[in-house]
Amino acid sequence: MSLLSRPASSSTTGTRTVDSLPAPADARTCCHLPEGASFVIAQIAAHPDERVRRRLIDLGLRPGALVEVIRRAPLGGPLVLRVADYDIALRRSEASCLLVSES
Amino acid sequence: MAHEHHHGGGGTVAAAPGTRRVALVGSPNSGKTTLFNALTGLRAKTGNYPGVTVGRYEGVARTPTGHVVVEDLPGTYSLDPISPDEVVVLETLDPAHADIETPQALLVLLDSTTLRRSLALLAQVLHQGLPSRLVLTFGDELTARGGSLDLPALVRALGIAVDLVTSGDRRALTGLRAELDVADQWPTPTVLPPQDPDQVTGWIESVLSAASYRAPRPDGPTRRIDSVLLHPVAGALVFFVVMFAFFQVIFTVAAPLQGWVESLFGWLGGAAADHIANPWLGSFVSQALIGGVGGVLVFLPQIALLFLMISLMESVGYMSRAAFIMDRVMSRFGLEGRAFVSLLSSMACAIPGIMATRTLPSARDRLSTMMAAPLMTCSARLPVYVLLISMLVPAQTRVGPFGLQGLVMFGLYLLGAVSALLAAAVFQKIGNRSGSGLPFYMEMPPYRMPSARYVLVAVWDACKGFLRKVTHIILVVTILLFLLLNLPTQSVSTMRSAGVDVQDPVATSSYVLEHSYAAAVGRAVEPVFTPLGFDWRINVGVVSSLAAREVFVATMGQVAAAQNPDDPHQALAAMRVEHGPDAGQPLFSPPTVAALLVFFVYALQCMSTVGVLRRETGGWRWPAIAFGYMFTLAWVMAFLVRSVVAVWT
Repeated sequence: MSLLSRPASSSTTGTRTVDSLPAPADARTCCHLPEGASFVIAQIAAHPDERVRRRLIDLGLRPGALVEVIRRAPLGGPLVLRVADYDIALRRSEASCLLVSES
Repeated sequence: MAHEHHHGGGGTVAAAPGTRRVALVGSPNSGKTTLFNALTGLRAKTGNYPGVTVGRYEGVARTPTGHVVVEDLPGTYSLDPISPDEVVVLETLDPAHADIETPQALLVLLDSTTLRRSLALLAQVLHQGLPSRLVLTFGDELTARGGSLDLPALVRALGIAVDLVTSGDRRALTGLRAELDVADQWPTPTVLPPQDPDQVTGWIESVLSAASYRAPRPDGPTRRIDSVLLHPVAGALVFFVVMFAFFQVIFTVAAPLQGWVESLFGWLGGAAADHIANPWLGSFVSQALIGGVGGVLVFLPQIALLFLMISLMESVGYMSRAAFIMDRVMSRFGLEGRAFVSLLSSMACAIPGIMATRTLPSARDRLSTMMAAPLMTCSARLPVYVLLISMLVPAQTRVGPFGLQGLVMFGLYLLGAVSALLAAAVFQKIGNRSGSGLPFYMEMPPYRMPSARYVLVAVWDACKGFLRKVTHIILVVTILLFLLLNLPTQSVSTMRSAGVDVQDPVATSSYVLEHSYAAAVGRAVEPVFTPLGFDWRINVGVVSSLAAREVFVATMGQVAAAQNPDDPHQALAAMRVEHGPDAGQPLFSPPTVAALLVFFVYALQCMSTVGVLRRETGGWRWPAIAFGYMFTLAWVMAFLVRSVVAVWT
């Protein structure tokens, strides 16, 4: 599994501001994958609110999970992803936390 | 998408002490509410959890030997709460939290087609240490899409009993009722699942493989329909067609039904007036009692139709698609896509619009949307706008190919919509100061055949709840208004000596009104409204429009003693300012009419809406905030517009 292909960014504090986050390069988030693409979640990026990260995991968006991009609304709208045998719509702000494995 | 329609009337939620309580825990879309409705029939109660705007639903389920109280907890994806609704679930399950009674046992509902995700919720729930039983829903769908599981093996892997149910399966329901009788003896697993999220993944995989779980294929028809309905162009087009039809149904299909309600109550009122000898009592019964009830019931067809369509759209699965299409626009105002339906419904009437916020999973979004919904231009404003615009703009004035009257009307609708979105954005900002906003995520369930029972229960619930609570408030207000407008009674001799033709009902009612308590109220509030150009007569209309905005038109007719109280345009145009520097000038000057129009755009002149706000938020705080902020906004905006128009004309 590509889970540890990168040292996990420290994501322990819930008080960081967005600016101080280890900004993942765009290419590494799943937001720019085309419709129909599949990817394995390498890690969940730190989010200013640690609960968001936890919620993504509870929704089945766990590191190691296989995800398919079903649909991308244009102009920065939400995405529909298929994970854990169901479809879920996410805004790009949340989807950008899903980091794609570099294999 | 939260399926949170329940039937139930009102009143506080309270069960006889000592009755066994079982709570339903599950994700949105797990079929939780459908099972709740099936178990409790039509004996459910709605209320609120202590201190929060989260709806609480409780019902009594018949069991072979007695009764069990069943509580339908808000749908949640996790016990690691991020919204007030989810906090409620956690607090209910926590025996240390004394405010909310902890159930003796839990019925956990999971959608059998999404077990790979939803077992994580079960893992968290089992850690609460309560006797639990698992119900897997949509068993038929699992089979139809090529999935399968070994039920006895799953029971062994989990250590608790599991039922696999399909929709409309009566036998499973009977079995479940029998199980409710012994709910406190349901097992708690001897080996608890792990708590660390990373280990939960492994636990889920091991449970699924132990149960030989074969995941269902993606639903083929859903994929094909979504390729149209979620398409950037086609999907948006379908969305607008659906919304247009939605709006048309609320306006046009409801209109004849509303006409019937109106004529029925008109006939009843007439019959009462004819058959009650005492004229004062007769008009009290016909106008205040029958007219007041009729004035509320006239909204019922709209509410029934609205909930019919909303619950159909939800039951089929279109609601989450519509929300997906609208999400980007709504996100600019801090709202999510689902709030759109509520705001659109408010263009028919704010009451169903506010009730439609029940589809929003987040309590904060619900509040912001409810605070904004009354600013959308409802149909009750229409008669007021028509009257006032006709006094402001001559019918033949045109701007290019468009009539100016229509343009002003359009402008008022636009002003209402923009103001509502901005108000929602402000309330979201204020709410978000206390913490970061909720992440937006929305399950996109496969398209399903609508459940007739679910739809009917949703309609029934909405209508029943509306009638129960609102009739109390509207009745009190209309009775009060009637008394204010008609008291003190004037004797024939007083009127004769004042030179009133006592044979002329229009003249006598105008004399009574002029000397009524309402007139006194109108004069008392003059200091507030004089800067807007309103005199005591307009104030009486404004005060009476609190019952319902369109009452303004009829009241102004009475005040102006028009021959035809339903079209007081002519009589009003002839009214003059009584005193002050402008004495003798037309009372309804362009600045005053413009100020009145803007006042009606913003002011919460509708006690039914206040009543529904109280019902939906479970207290007087939010209705008071709504009334206060909208009145302030109305006054300030009316003053600004009056000043601008005064300079311009």
